[in-house]
Amino acid sequence: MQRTAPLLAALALAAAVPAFAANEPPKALTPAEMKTDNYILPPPEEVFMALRGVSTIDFGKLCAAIAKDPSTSKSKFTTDGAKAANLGMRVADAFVAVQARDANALRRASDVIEILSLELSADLSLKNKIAVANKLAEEAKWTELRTILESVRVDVLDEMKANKDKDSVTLATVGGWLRGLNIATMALSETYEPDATKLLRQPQLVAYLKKQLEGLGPKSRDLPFVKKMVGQMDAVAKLTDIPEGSTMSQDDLKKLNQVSNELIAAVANAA
Amino acid sequence: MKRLILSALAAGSLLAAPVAHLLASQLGAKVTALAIMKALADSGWTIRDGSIDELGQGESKVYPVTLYYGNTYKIVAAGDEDAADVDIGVYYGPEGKFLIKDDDNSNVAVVTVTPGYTDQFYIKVVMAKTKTGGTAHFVVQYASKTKSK
Repeated sequence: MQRTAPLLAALALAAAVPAFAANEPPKALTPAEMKTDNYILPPPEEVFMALRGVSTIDFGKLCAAIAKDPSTSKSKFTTDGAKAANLGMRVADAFVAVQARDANALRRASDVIEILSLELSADLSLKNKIAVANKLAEEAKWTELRTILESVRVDVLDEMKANKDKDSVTLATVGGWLRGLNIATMALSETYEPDATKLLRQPQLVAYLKKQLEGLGPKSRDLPFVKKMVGQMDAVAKLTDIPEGSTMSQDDLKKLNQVSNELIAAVANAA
Repeated sequence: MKRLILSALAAGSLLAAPVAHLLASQLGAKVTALAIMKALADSGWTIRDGSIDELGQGESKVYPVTLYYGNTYKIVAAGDEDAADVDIGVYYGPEGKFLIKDDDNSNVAVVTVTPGYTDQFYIKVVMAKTKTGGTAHFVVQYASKTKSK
């Protein structure tokens, strides 16, 4: 018992010591600290903003390519998994429209977003927010529009979380990320600039998303497009695993674009 | 039925004080974060959704996040009215190497990161000191904008 007191005192002292000790070079994180599930996932808009920082991107051209693909207007899906993944992709398309300042492209994406989000979350306030977003686009108030669009995205995910629909949260998130990757590879393939490909380096994010897909319930996991995504995630992780300071080869960029094309087609053509 | 309602009311009144404190505390952290984020939004930053959490004095929590090459980020941790000193450290890569920190004696910590390539970063929030010696709430959130070429 006598030995307990010094031990408790030592523990109390340890607890009070700040994690960043003054005048000492900070240490790296421990493996235990890095093993955490508190992931803050990047929204699809992040990658489009970053594209502007690394290259000169013609977002109008990207909007035109999206408009040419009839599957981007499809809003009829039979499973919640397909609805969620396509919702994520169309939200990404809406952010491309914002970057291009294209009100028609935004309307095309938001029409699908409205249908799918109401089917998945039944939150009627989303309908009003989407109407406001379209009005802001017509008035060319793009900064305010970005805020509304991001809040629609977050509200839909929150509503799914509230309904304990974890699978839809995962699939909407993966759909948005996948579309972001697809648009980024499409844009960077237009004029290959090695330095700009440093933007695509994300093996740890891909590994995390693969783990999330593998954790889906059996109903979602058995969907053909989900199986295809899970099957290709290792290839995507390998292609995006660019060594520190290096760049992606033109050939790998082409391969990554092809893989992402196949995956978004599988999601968009899901039943 | 009446008994059930009365029991629920009794339980509600018992819970009212701690729940009110919990909400006030979360609100305090949100208000502090909101003030910072509003200032950033006014200067052209895009605000991202944050996470609200609670830590005891001396405790820390780590949040992995992917930050893209091409953007600049402001990462913020804002404590509630019980938080006396909140710090942030940012680490990166598979080995969790140290990059930058804000460890001044304030209940708000802000760091700026402009990645040289897209990578997984780790935001470590440290509740260095609380006013009560107990726990306090904080919001961890970031804002981003396209980096200047």
